[in-house]
Amino acid sequence: MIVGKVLHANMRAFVFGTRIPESDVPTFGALVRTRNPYRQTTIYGLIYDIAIKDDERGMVKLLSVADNAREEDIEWLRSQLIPLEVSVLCVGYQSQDDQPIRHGLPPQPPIALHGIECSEDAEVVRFTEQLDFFRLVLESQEAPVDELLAATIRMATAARAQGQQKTFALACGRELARLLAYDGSRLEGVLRRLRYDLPSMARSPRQAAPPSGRES
Amino acid sequence: MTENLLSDLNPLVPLDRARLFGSRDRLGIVVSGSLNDGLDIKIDRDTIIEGLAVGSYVTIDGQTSRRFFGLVTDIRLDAADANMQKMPPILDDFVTQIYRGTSVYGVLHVKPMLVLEEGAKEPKPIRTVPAHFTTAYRATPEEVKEIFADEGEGSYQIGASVDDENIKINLNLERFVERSSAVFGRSGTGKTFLTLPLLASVIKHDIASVLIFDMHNDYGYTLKGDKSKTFKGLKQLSAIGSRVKVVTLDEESSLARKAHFEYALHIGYDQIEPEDLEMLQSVLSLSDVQVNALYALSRKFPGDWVSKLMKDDDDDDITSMIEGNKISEGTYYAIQRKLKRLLKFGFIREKTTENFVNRIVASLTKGDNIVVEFGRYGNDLPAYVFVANFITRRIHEKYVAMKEAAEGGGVEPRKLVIAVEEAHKFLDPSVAGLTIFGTIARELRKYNVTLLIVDQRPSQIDAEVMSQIGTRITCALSDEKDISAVFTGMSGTQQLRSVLASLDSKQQALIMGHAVPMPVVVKTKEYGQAVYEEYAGSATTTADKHAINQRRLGRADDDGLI
Repeated sequence: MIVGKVLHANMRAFVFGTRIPESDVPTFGALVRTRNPYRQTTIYGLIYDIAIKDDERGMVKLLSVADNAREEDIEWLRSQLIPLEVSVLCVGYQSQDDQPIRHGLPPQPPIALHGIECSEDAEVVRFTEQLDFFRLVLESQEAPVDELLAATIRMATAARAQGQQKTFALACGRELARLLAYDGSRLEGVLRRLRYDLPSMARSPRQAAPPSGRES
Repeated sequence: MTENLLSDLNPLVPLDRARLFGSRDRLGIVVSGSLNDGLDIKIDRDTIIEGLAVGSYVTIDGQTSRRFFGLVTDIRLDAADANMQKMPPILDDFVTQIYRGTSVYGVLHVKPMLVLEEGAKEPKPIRTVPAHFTTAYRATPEEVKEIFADEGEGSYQIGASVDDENIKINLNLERFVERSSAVFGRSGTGKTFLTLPLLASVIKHDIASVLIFDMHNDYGYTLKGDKSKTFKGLKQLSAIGSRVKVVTLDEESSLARKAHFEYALHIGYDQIEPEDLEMLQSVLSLSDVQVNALYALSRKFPGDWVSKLMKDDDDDDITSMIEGNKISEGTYYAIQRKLKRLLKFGFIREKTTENFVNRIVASLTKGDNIVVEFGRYGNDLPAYVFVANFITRRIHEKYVAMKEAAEGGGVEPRKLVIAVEEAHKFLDPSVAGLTIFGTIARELRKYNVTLLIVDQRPSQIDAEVMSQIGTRITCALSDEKDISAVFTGMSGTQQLRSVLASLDSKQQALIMGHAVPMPVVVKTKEYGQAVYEEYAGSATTTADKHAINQRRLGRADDDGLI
């Protein structure tokens, strides 16, 4: 299902507009895809910002300060064509349908007004089999990087079958630990967010099952 | 059931899992290091650090088909971010699992020792290091066996690996006696219980003659253990007993202890030379002037200078010497006073029936082994130092003469090991230059005589002597100075300090040097019934007896009866 269309784009990020009912609007951290039809490339990105803008006449501003705004006026305004602007960070692409997904910047950015689709669980799982996109995210200047990674990991974990969730979350945590090895406090912040998102995995060490490993 | 027991998830998997599976137990990868300082191995996440021990062996697969062997000398916890130690994160099971092996990890410090080239049978000393990120495994029992496999003639099984009771560690006795060796350890760590069977094995394999200065009367007939338990001494081990002669300095004590002895050792005044007393300079607090006076006396009255000195009445010759200002009166009486303290010992006699020391030297050169029991004199330092020096000096002279004769076509002198307890009394830096033991430790290897030093204070031994010691067997030591001293004169062994410091106080020893391919921590064999059985039965085969008799008679092998 097309959830929006590309408004503008560059190599690292793109913005799409959407006006679909709120319940279907993709959330922060979700994986979306679009295509560059000239190069047959599918471009994957992570949503890192969703902005609500005023309409050009300044109606929202007026209504927001009006003393007795009527409900009908607010409903009317909401029904106007005011798009949500959703910012997406490019994290991977697939040059042909039979090629593997690569984590990195696409050869060309998405093109304007091309449709955006949300990735289904199966695709999320396929995309997150490798975790190389973490580095791209961490390098981003615009996005709230730590929150974004935590949200994406939570979704990718939820997309997996019950039995694989813990293994995946651990693998993500370890990849983060590797990438943030020299910044312990930042790492701790990300892991703490991850832990709130995945409460079932956080247990106190005393109750924990023996860690997997080998005794001498 | 078995699957669960041996599962990776079970942290208490049996120690010999690797053996059961025939697979190698991966520990981690090499991340840094040098040949001198040792290698750092980053431990894999799933290797349980508690299961590793200092002193165990590690195999590292090189880039080519070489395998490197090393010894774990330290285990360390490290963190990628130093702040981690100051501000540890709030942990739960999940977060702990993430941190371990990534942000925080264990590091094995491994001293590389040997390298096994492809197709080579014997490992060689290491001259390079494995490359970055080569994989380290726990050495399998087979690999350790391969290194210490020397089970040929002249090898002595000193004990088993501390990691695995089934891995027997062998000492190459030929190499052990080739250079001076030492057994160190603080009191009560089992030095004597380790040395006695070792010497028994040297005797049994007929590798060298053994002379033991038995300060505490432990080696000859009975060995006193804890809780007044007694063990068999060398004489009581029937396979070698006939070749061991116990000589006592203190007949009364030997008779009281019911310790059988061959003969009592007496030293006559006429046999004493000023050199014998010079070594006691510090013990008897003789001044240089007094020592010179001793030489003057012995030059003037060769043979009976000691008798003259010991006479209570004034001797005319001496009086004339004093009057002639050859020797001052004060010096003379001071010497007399000091020497009387020494010469009061029962074993020093004015006259003896024979020269017993010559008898000892003769037995040794013929292949017998001598234990000199000190009886009650063992606790008397001047007596011990005097006798040990006295006998050893004559052995030295004899061996030097024999070796020179051998160069001219005579018989090569038989190898001799002199075991000496409390060796620091002779090898203290202040006296090592004077006593004959210093000379032996330094150069007598050329004359087929080596020392076996048994001591609890290695720090008191002259560094020059320490550097000549080939094989060092070290039981637990507590004093820092002693621990450092053990490593003096052995390059690149400083890292073994932590191994030494972690030894159990009983029945564990670190062996390094000439007689083992690489340093090894052993759980030493228990001395008792099992060892007695090895030495059960009569001496030897008829052929061996024939050889022994031939040697006693001083005949070469090919001399027939006619």
